Amino acid sequence: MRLFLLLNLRRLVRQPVRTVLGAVAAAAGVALVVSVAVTTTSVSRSFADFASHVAGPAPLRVVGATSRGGLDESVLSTVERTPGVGAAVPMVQAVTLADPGPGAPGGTRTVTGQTGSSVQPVLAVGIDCRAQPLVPSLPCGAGSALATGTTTGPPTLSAALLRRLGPDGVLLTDDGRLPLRGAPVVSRLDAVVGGQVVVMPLAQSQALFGRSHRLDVVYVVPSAGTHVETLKQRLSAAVGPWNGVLRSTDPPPAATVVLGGLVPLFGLMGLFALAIGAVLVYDVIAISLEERRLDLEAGLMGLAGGLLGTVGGVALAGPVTAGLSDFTRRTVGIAVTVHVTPAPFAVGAALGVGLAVAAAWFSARRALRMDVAAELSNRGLRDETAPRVRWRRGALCLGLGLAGVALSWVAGFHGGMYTWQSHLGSVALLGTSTAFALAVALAAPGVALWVLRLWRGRNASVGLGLANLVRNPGRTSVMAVAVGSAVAIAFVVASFDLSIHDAITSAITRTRNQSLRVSTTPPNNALDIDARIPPAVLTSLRHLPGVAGLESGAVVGSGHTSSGLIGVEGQDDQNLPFDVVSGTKDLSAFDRGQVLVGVGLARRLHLRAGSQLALDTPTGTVRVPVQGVWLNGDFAGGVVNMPMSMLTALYGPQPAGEVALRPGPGVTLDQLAREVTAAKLDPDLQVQTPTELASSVSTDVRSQLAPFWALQRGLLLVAFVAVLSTLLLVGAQRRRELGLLAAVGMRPSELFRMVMSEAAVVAVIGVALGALGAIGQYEASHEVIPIFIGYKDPFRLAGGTVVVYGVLVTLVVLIAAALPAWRTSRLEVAASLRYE
Amino acid sequence: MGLLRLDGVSKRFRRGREDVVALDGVELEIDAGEFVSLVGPSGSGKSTLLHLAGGIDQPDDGLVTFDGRDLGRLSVGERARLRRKKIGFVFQFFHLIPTLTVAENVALPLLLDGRRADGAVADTIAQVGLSERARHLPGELSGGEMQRAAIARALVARPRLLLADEPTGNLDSATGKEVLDVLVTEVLEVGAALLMATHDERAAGRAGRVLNLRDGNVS
Ligand SMILES: Nc1ncnc2c1ncn2[C@@H]1O[C@H](COP(=O)(O)OP(=O)(O)OP(=O)(O)O)[C@@H](O)[C@H]1O
Ligand SMILES: [Mg+2]
Repeated sequence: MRLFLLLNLRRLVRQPVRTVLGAVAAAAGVALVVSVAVTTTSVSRSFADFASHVAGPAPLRVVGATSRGGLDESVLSTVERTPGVGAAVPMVQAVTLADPGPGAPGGTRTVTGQTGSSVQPVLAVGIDCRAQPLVPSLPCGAGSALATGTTTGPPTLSAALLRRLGPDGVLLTDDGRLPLRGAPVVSRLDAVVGGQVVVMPLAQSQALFGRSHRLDVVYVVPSAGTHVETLKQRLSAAVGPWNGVLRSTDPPPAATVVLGGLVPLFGLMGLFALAIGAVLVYDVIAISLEERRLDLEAGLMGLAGGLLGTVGGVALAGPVTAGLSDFTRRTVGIAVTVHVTPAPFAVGAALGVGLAVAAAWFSARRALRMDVAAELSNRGLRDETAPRVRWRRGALCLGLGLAGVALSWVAGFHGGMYTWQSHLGSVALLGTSTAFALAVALAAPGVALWVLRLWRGRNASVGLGLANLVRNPGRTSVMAVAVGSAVAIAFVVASFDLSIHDAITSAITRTRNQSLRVSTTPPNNALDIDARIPPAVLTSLRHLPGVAGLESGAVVGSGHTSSGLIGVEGQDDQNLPFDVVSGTKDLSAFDRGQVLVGVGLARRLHLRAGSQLALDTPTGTVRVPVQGVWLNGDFAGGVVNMPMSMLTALYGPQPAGEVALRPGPGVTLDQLAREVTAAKLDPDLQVQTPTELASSVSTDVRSQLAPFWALQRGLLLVAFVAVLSTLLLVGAQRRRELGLLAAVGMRPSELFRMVMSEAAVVAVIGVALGALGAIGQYEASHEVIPIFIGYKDPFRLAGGTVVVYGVLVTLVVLIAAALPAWRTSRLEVAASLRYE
Repeated sequence: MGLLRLDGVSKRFRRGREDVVALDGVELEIDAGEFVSLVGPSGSGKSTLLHLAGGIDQPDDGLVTFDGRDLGRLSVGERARLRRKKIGFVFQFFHLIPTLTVAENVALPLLLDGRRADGAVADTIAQVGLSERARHLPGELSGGEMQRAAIARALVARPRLLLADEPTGNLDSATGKEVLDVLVTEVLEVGAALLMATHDERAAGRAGRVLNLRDGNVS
């Protein structure tokens, strides 16, 4: 066994390029899959970490009907009365913003909530001495702030936050700015959400964050001998269905929503990359086949690749997690940090080995089936006839792809408001992308043949390169698909980018053209940020000269499970801007309390015009009549719109995060904006014209495409590896032939050109076919997209992107081809012509 | 002054730890229009000598001069150019490109040289009696047909020097004679020089001069 291993190792060491390639090929696929695993673990670990710091020994938590202050205070006594409850700890967990104030380290003062900008999200925790069971060291002596329940004075800061904000930091609250100068600092808080946390007495937090008689969470410590699961059921029954009982470590529902969309997508792409990796490993193995005893060689190569891929995957998880974290910090105040556990390494290594061994097995099986006589007499190589058959199969795949597009049209009809449509939509998308990828694979060698026919008679080295592409259709397909998918993803994502931008711009300029947006919070994903406009500032705004009116809306996130989340939007203005797909959008009915629901909500709860929608509120479940279903994309379509008065009645008064200021006659929006700015009402007050608003919302929404762009970079790498390995292997296989070409007079520069032109043609074919496939893929995605986002963006094709990425991918391919081309040109002619 | 000259040419190969001396101070001169055959036991260095003569390998010592030019002073690219214009190779193992037709294989030297191929290719293929097979792939030919295709490829550019490595080795005697006739005709009609390595004594006997390669030296 040891000798066996040694022989294999020696062979690996003697074939460094081949081994590295096999490993890298496996690694590329593994990386994507691992990054999904790492991201998922990171999310659950981050929330579990938070729980371990905040909930301490409490395994359960009771949450309310809304994400922000959704628990009525009366629930606390209900919980305390439930048998088996040892301690019930009420808590406020408000997400707000902290402003470094003047003299803070660097940065522009923008209220974006983005990591790195100077105004940053902070979790404001409100507790009182009842939290002692969770944090035994709580300072609760007589006269301490927590014991007296004071509602003034600065909160306690983490040391890290003090460092980030500087001495003059300010906490933004719904009631105004709270200076942090002289605040007590506890360095142990640095461990909680990376130190982005302040702690204050419960009563103060209720006053500052608009939670009068409301709580965010009640942590529950069971009494001795009580089974947690039993207690959980008992509590669920006691607090009523509009409230929820969760494990302390469960992520907040809002945080899991994004992950739900990301994981399948990344998983899919990872599988795709793995498939390409498998083909490349197969290639590598095929070449070493004469040497036999491949299982171990393949296994070792796969192991190396799997581990390499895992490291890559962990690295890739960095930016992906950062994007997610940005979102969770704004919604629940908790950052997601990369957590690396042994599991992904095991998964990655196993995946790499499995992939390599499977590829080796197929490769060996094919070798066994090979017709030895034909091989020896050089017969059976009429590959040029093959492309004709492939055209037909390619056409079939194209047909299937187009059928997929048609299905996606059916799936997206009426905004995809019926349950069956969402299943159909997923199937259609998957089918379309598979069919188009196969069509590209099958068409690529045929196109190469066509180019070859056009080329015949011109430059011989280019012609020979083309002939090589035609004769190895499988390899040509792999390279073309790798190139094509890198371009296609770029094309599709850029098209969505453009379409989102146009949609947002037109929606905002259409509906909010007559007013200024004035706000202290970011324009998007700021639902739960409690840095609202202080009442005093609101009053001053109303009385500013030139202001004819001030309208405020409110948004409440209702529901305590990730599948039950409903965005409740209240509005005063007379705009019902979105297209109705079922029922009506009648303004007078709306004012009478007949609500409009998004397609996502309609699909989830089977709502139609005339249905009753059950809404959880802090005081119970309420039924409201539905007058229509429309394409409102907020909350991915899981949204209900109602008059402001109705929202207030259901959820209590909501501090305004943003208001629309209407100018009086003769006053332009720009004049009014200058007026508001000059009044210096609040340093964090932002004034935005419709154009500015549109651009900031669109930038924000488009930034959510970042993971897709990361994916595209990954595919670029896959294309690089695919071309590099394929050409190197092909070079090794055709050694004798290349020697002959040199012997009959082909110069090194011409040999180089031959390989480079092979790569260039594959790149151009891949780009062209990829772009064509992408148009179909984009159309399918565009039809299906309302199912996922609740809104139908206009059809836009980012043609420029194809050019830019086409050139970029071609460059990448040429760089990848340079090494094989160079090696070909340096061939030792006499040695390569000898028969071994 | 001969067309091809080898002066004190030596070639060694490393095989594992030991050095194999394939050629050891070979002296050789061939004039235009001359047919020289090279005989010697297997492993005596015939193929090696042809490779050096055609500039696809480099000697460790000594000079190879073709048409008055020292091959050692030319770049790899210049030697390749020289080959496609002036030297034709017939290899021991045909070495046809399996995915190109016979006609395309034959046309290679011309195509690489950027010359129009049509007439010359058809003529040369006819000369070796393969016209029927011009559009076939090598895989569909017999061994003798493949060898004739390889010869056509060596002849198509009308080279001044033909280097043939056992051109009749794989053929029955009748076919071998036909093939050899084609080569000899080329020497006689065009005035090319032919250096042919062979085991076949009858074939060797048709040459004007027979060189014996033994222990790395010609005699
Ligand atoms: N690349 C190489 N590496 C190692 N040894 C080599 C190499 N090329 C040739 N040799 C050795 O050099 C010697 C001469 O080889 P060469 O092929 O020239 O012989 P040959 O006379 O053509 O034989 P044959 O009649 O069998 O074709 C042989 O011993 C051979 O093993
Ligand atoms: Mg030989």
